Amino acid sequence: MTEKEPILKLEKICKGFSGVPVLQDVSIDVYPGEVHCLMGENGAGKSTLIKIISGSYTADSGSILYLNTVYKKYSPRWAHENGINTIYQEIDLVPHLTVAQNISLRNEPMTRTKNIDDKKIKERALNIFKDMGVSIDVNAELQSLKVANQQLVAIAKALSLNSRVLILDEPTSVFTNTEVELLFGLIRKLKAQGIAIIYISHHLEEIFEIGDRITVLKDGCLVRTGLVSEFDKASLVKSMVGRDVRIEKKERLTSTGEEVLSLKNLTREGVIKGVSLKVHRGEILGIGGLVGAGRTELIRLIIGADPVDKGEICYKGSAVKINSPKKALKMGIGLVPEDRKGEGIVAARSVLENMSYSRIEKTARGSIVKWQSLKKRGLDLFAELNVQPKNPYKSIQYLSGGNQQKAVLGKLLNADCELLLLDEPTRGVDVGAREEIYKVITKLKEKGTAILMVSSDLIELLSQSDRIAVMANGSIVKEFDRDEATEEKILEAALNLGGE
Amino acid sequence: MEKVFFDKAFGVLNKYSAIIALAIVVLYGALFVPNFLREANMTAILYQYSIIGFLALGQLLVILTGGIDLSQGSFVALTSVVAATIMVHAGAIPAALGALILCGGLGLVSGIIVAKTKIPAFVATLGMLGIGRGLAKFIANAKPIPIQNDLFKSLGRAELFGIPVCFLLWILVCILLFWFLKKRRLGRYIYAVGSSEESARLAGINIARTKMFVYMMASLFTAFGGLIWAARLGSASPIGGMNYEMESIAAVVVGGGSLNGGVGSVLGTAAGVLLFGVINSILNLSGISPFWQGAIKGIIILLAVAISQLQRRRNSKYK
Repeated sequence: MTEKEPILKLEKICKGFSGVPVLQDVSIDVYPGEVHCLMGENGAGKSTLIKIISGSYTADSGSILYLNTVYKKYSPRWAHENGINTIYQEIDLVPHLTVAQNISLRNEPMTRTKNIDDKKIKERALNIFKDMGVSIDVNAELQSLKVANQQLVAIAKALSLNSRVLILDEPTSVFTNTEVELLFGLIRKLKAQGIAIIYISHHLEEIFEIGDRITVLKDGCLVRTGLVSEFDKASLVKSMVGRDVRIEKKERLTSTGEEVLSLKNLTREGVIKGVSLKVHRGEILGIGGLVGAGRTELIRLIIGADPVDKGEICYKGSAVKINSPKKALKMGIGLVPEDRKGEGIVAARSVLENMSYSRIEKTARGSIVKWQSLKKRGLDLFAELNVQPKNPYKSIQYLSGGNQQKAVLGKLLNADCELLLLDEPTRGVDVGAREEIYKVITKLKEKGTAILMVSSDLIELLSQSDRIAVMANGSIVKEFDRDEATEEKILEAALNLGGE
Repeated sequence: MEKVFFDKAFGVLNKYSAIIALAIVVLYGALFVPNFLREANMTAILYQYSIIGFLALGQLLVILTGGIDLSQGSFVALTSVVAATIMVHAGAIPAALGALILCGGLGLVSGIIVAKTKIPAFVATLGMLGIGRGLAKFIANAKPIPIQNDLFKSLGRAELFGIPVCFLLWILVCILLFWFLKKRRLGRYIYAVGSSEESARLAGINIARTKMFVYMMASLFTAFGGLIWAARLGSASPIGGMNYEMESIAAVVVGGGSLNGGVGSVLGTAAGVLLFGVINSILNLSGISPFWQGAIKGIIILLAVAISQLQRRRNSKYK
């Protein structure tokens, strides 16, 4: 297979955003009929790389050799027309069109009078679904579908085009096991047809099951590329993180204090099923599990964003009813949300102002905001957290993800929280800022804050938590002390009930 | 089972709510409002609301892409003034063509601004509103211009089998636009762009061209409405058409269109236009003070939007 000419050859691709380099001199060969896996931690540059291949971004320098012709840049449309197709992680379908219309979008069959042939559009969709072995109503509006089915529609769409190179960006993140098997069957079929597949996934098992070749990126640079047989799980993880898998665990506080949060049989119909757990002062309880296990939903219950159907929340020793996030904050429960852009920051306002919001009510006299005292404290925090660039008046939207996250943490520090809920605290954060965020978290812990941390990053979970609870299908399936927890054990627990 | 049935019923009700509402108010008018069914009243509604009808069809295209066109009212005035000025020197047809070309061109400019710069449609067309009104006043020297040409005036006065010709034209354009949105590629891409611009871009749809097209078409439809308006009045006025864009937006929204883009239909919009026409007429015939009429229409708009929001929340609950 390797004797063949590569169908796609990237040469010394560089790309930066507002001066920050995201890709540096990345060269990759992709051969027809192979599954080429792109691996790397969040922020390693995988998404940027595939956006360059699919024409959405233009590389700052470097070139792309495709079908024996060298290109500096091309448009997404050109890529489509020439057989490069992508299934994105965020589903790139049109919510208000029907399933069938989406599959044929930009590729509509025509009648002789150049009208759209809706009958053919439906037939095409039905045929593809039959081939795939799935049953989805082709006349349904796309937005009425479950996310997993939307993803299947996206795959069907890619199959309907004559692809030579098919890029799959974390296609399985919303899938259950049956759908993953289905996808793998399709991929094998495509391989046999000589289609090159670029596959991105965080699930190592998937890579070893379906991949032929692996390229590992780290901080925008190519670390290693080779056949799957040249890797094993440990060496792959090692090249991804660039360190030994041996995880350094944080010093444990010798005395954890009294109970801060205790959930008893907490239930929300259809989402959370009888969750009981405890978090103590000065302790980090990590919550692991796969996407869709109900971790974010649990947090939403605790801060009162969703109503509790059954069960009890005890906070500092007494049963409480929390019916709004505002009340939660007043009680000293703070949240670092997963969706930083949407829920964590007010994009257009300054860093300083963002960090001060949580304290406005506390310092205000009546309805008069005490900006001077807020500012003084905010500036201290700003310096303490080492937010870059060193301009507290800069609009927060222009900061990097890591620095935005530091400001969000600053906001909660400012509120003197006693219980902190962290939902994927380092998602989309670069490695340097990540360490600083961990430092802040540790400092909070030392001050006696109780912390509940949801994370999909196993290494983060293992290195930061004192105890780890694993969720699957809305309930806690396993709890570990940090000394007994390993990556494998956590994954096993998450997967055991993870399937259907 | 029952729940599914009610959901379906509610869905149908919502989809055709403008038509159902139209049927109800027509029935009310026919039964309880004296003179409502008289031919003179009916044709008066059709004349007046053919004009808003053309504007609303243009507005629909723009709103489907997630934009808005605030320049319509001033373009009605501009069209009338340009046509009347040309008519002093040439015939009705060059006058109409000249006005259409000028407004279409200005619409294209709006489209280019919206598509190529990141200026929001609201601001771009607000600017165009000022430009249109200013241009109209400059050309007309801020005075009305009388129109003598009988051929031109017939556009706003002729009837066929007792039905205003301009209304028949509007119905024809409704049918064409319905077909265009349903059956032509560009029509479908207009929905796609408004529903999710990024997805449409990734699918390889030319966003800029689609947007330029809708703003140009909106202005052409507006100009056509402006010609009818001038023909009916027998005069051009640089201060005419004030706030007409509000009525066209209201018709689209009441007809089920979403200002977020991607949702809306010709059928709903047409029903929305006629609904306001009929309500206006009923309010007039019932002797309700014109001061209250605006408020009543405002309440109708709010109700329509509230209902569609409720429906949306119902839908999202099942996800």
